[in-house]
Amino acid sequence: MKTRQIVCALCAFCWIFSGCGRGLFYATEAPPKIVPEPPLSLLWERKLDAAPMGKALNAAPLVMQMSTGASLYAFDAYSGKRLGKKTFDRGICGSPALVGDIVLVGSEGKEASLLAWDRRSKKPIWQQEGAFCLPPVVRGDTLIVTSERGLVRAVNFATGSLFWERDLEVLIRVAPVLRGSSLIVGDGRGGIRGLRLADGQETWRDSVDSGVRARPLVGSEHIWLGTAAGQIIALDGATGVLQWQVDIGGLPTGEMASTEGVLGVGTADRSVYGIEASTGTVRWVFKTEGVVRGGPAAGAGVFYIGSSDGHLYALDASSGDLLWKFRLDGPVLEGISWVGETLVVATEKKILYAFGRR
Amino acid sequence: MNAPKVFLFLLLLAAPLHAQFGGFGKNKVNFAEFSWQKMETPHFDVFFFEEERELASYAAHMAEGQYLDLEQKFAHTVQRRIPLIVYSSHIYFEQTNIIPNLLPEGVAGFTEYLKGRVALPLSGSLPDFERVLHHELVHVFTFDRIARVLERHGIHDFRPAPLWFTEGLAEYWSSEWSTFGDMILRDALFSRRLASIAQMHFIYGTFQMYKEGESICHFMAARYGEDVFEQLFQNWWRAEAFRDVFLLTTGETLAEFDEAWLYSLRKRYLPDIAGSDLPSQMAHVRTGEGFNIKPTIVPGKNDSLMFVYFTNSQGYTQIALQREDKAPEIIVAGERLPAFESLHPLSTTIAVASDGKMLAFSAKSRGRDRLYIWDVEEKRELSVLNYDEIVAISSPSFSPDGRRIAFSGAGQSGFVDLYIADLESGQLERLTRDVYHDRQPCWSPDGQMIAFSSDRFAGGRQGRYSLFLYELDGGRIRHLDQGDHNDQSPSFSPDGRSIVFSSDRDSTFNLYVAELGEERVGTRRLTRVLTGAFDPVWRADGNGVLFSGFEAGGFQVLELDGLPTDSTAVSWYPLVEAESEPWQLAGDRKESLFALRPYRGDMSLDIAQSQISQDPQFGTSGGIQLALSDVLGNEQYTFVLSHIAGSQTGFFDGLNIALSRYHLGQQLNWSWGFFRLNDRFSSTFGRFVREKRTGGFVGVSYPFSRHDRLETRLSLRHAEIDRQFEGRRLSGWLANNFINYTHDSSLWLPTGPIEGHRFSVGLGQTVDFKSSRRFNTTLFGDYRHYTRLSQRTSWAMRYMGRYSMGDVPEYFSLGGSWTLRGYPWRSLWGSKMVLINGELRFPLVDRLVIGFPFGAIDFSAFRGALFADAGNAWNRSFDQWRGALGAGMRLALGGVFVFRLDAARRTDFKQIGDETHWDFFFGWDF
Repeated sequence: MKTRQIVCALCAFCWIFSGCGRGLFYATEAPPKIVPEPPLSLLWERKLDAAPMGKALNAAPLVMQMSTGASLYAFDAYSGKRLGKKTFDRGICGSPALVGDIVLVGSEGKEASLLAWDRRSKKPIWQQEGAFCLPPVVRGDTLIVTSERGLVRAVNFATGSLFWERDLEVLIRVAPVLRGSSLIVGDGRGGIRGLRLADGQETWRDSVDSGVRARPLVGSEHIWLGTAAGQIIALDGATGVLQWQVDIGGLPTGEMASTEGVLGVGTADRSVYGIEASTGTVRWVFKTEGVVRGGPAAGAGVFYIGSSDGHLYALDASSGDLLWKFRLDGPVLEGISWVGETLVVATEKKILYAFGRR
Repeated sequence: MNAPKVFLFLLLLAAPLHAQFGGFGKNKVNFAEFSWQKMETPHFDVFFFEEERELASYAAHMAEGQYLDLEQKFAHTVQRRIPLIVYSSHIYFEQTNIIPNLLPEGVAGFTEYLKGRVALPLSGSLPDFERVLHHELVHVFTFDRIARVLERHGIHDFRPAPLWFTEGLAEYWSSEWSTFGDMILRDALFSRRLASIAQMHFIYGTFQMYKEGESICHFMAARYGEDVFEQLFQNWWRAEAFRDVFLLTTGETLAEFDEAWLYSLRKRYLPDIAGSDLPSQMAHVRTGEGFNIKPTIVPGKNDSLMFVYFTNSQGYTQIALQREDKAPEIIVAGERLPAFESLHPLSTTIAVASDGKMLAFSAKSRGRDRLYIWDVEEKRELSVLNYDEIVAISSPSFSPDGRRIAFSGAGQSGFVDLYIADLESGQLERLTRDVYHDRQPCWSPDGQMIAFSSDRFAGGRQGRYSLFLYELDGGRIRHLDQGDHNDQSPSFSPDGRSIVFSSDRDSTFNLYVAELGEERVGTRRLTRVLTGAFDPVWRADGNGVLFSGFEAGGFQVLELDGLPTDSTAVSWYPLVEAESEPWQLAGDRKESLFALRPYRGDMSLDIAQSQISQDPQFGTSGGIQLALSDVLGNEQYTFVLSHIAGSQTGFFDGLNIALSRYHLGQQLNWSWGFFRLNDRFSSTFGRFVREKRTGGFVGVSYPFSRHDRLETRLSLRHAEIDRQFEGRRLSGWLANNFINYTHDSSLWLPTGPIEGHRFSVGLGQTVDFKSSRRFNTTLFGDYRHYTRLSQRTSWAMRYMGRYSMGDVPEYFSLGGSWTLRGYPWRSLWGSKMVLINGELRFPLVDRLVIGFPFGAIDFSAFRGALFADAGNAWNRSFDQWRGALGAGMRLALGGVFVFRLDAARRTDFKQIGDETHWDFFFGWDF
């Protein structure tokens, strides 16, 4: 975990002062270095042309948000000033990803492709044919794209040329993640594979009782994932051997997050679960008044999470106590992001909110 | 579209002169008036009336629990309050004005999409009510989930799911897979009627479609995981066609899945044939054509077999008497008269007194069930029993002496209990009084006990039934069997020592016999059928059993000769006292914490639309139409605002505005409205006249029953009339009134009526209010009779006449597909008119499926017609009959339109013309 943070910090430094080389880290996963404590202040709110598509992208000091209207917005994270808007062709099919200056946008239909678009030059760089609607992952110059039909492809991030390709012949509902030199892929039938990043060869395989629904979360020793049967499972990060599993009440609906040794999971049964990352003990359950669809944002012992009940909640990671809540204008169905010290959340009423400390 | 026609429908509502003769159609009659209230739960507004408050409280708690269940299954929160309207009886439910359609008895509830309302009745069983509510809420979530997903992706055209999927999912998520599901699928498989997903249009809307859909959803969940449905809805925006969304979500084509599902059914059900038989293979079929069910033995003087049963071979349910090997004889013709609006063939039985002379049955008449005592031989009514406190009656059973009758009855609260009525005094005795569903009483031959089926045991909470004995001396209730399965339809043997009944204890409904011991009961199996055996009754000699057998998608009455002596071993159980309160539901009146509010009848929008159109004569026309109603649909407004902006008219001159108000919450429906119109008007058969009219109207409609109504309307208006066809202009204050009586008991196929009759007679007059000058008096008569020649062939006759007299008579026209075929549309006209049509209607092709690039369209009825028409319209004297002979075809399009094509040759009844005239029309047969 430390190595990862150091790499992220270096990249952030590099990007801020000189413009980072492409593909050194997956910016949306970087936790904020300094997290303000709740209660947070509403910094700004901006109207989008449509509902959000995925959570906001961390391009600190910019907030980038894709809408279902295929518009990518860029706002100043602190002031909320709109700095740009790019409208892509309709047909985008999943949450975009941001790697350095490159925005990766998948589309489907007759001309299905993954488009790499440079946000500085505002020009496309390359296009990869195929319906790759799951968010891609990048390590070094290797970009891994995955289709829901089970095709995993590694390409050169700079040029789009093919390194390797594997057809897993199984449905995949959540994006894979990287751990060390392995790609961890959970599939819709409960299969979990470790693929070697260099050549795509399978290094281990395990299975759980039902399909993988919550995108795996990688820790220093464990890989955690949520299943369609409402289980949270921890696997050994290196071997894939099951470490623990716990039944929770509802279907995990978004990505998980962790802080202070606690996993935060939002579920369809209106709940947020706090689970001890090392043992699987359910430490607390927090009930909202609606389905919790998007994943939480974590930081400094606090989970921030939105609900279909139209609230943003801040929960103490160790106890599940409500520290703060804010009434938004509509339901939250996408995840929450940190962009620097700014917490960003979008609602179904097409409003993007930014919270932080004034 | 022609401008005046754009608003024609709504304008006619406010057009008193020419639209005065009402159309046909059956009536929805509000026999009962209730004081409605509202119960507010976190997610629902539950509407109910005081008498069903307990039911409403149960419904509120059920709905909240189900909401949380479905919220999780759909991973979706419905962001609006859901109106839930509860009716304690199907009879009340049929009176709802939430939707205009007449509701058949098979409809257990519905979800309406304009306001997202859910309405359902209690059928007697609270667990079943809970299941139906759950089913309807799945529809609410399905619709809302799809709508929100499409909305968030900016897709404004709703993409509905296939019906088999929405109904299948609703079944799947509202109940466990049932024995009935097995029965339907097993039967469909063995009778080669199983429809694949690609063939679902063949069984569209049928119970088989529901069960196949449910089976498909079970298979989907097993194959792809329970969350496949949530994923499917999440992906709904990504493709237009369901099959593409399915492929995106599952990675498998619908065709591949279809094949796998069919294979799984074959694997599951085909082995069953090894140990069982179809009913017709193991018993004698005693009935023939159509749907025949619920036999009851008529004891006779000799040993010959005689029984009565419900039959429906031609669309109406009737009670037939079958004497051994003779043709069945109809002894009660139901569903054509107000006295027998419904005979409830699915929920009740027929009782026959021990002397074989009287039979008893329940029938719906004028808003409640009545118990009819009928003379079997003379086929006439002996007496009728009805009680103010009982709304629904089912399953009568005579006492051995024929003086009393036991039955199941439901009061205004909706809960079904056992009653005994004295036939002479009419005195009523109530045997049970609780929330459990006590049904199918059967009096023992010694008169000491009543056997009945009920959910008053632990398994009843899951919707199962068991058998009980009610001891008339003391009222003790004893439980015959504690198994967790469905036991129903008990019938005592002639010696009173045994009870034959139907049970699904081996996952198929079969017949069993319970032998009554001192303090124990022994059960043994009688049949081993593949599909289902129901409603058994003993032969009078005790030497055989009659029952309803399910096979090839229908029911027949069968006879099991003798009783097998080598049947399975008898299993003995102790006869135990029934628990007094085996299960409870959340929402007991004491527990209900939800807020109660009086019903306010707030109006909300049903329809709002605008249109712009162009007409060569009137120029450009634009306008809006609004319709508002309250939650119950009892109070309605329609508002029309349009403008004809042609060069001939100024702004105010071209303004059309009409407001109408309808009060439908009681038996007497009335309406009023105002209008300011400048347009062309015509009744169905009238001439167009140009008229500026400003005024108001009051209308009253009084339905006596489902079939008959009296209507009248009075209007006052200032009119400027341009009768262009006769070059006359008139103006003045006109008063118009009419009165009209309509009867309609016709039975329909998709293309038009096939049996029954309907008529309408009316009288109207228009006078100049200031001068008392009589403009016209008009008489109207229309009689149509449909004689069924065979199952799907009929001969239809129409006799119609109109007569208008006065200074300004109305003019009527003939010609075209609706009236006199072979003559151009409205080519013959006059102030008098006569028309006679005769038409032979017959089937051509049962099902025509035409494949188009975008998918197949199923024309479910493709029928032919041979016709002869005669008539004329005249002013001074009738000169001659004009006629036509011809043939035509009719094609039903999705149950909404009927495409008609007629080829006719004119005749003066001396010779037939050489020229063939073609008429093309969209509309039902007369």
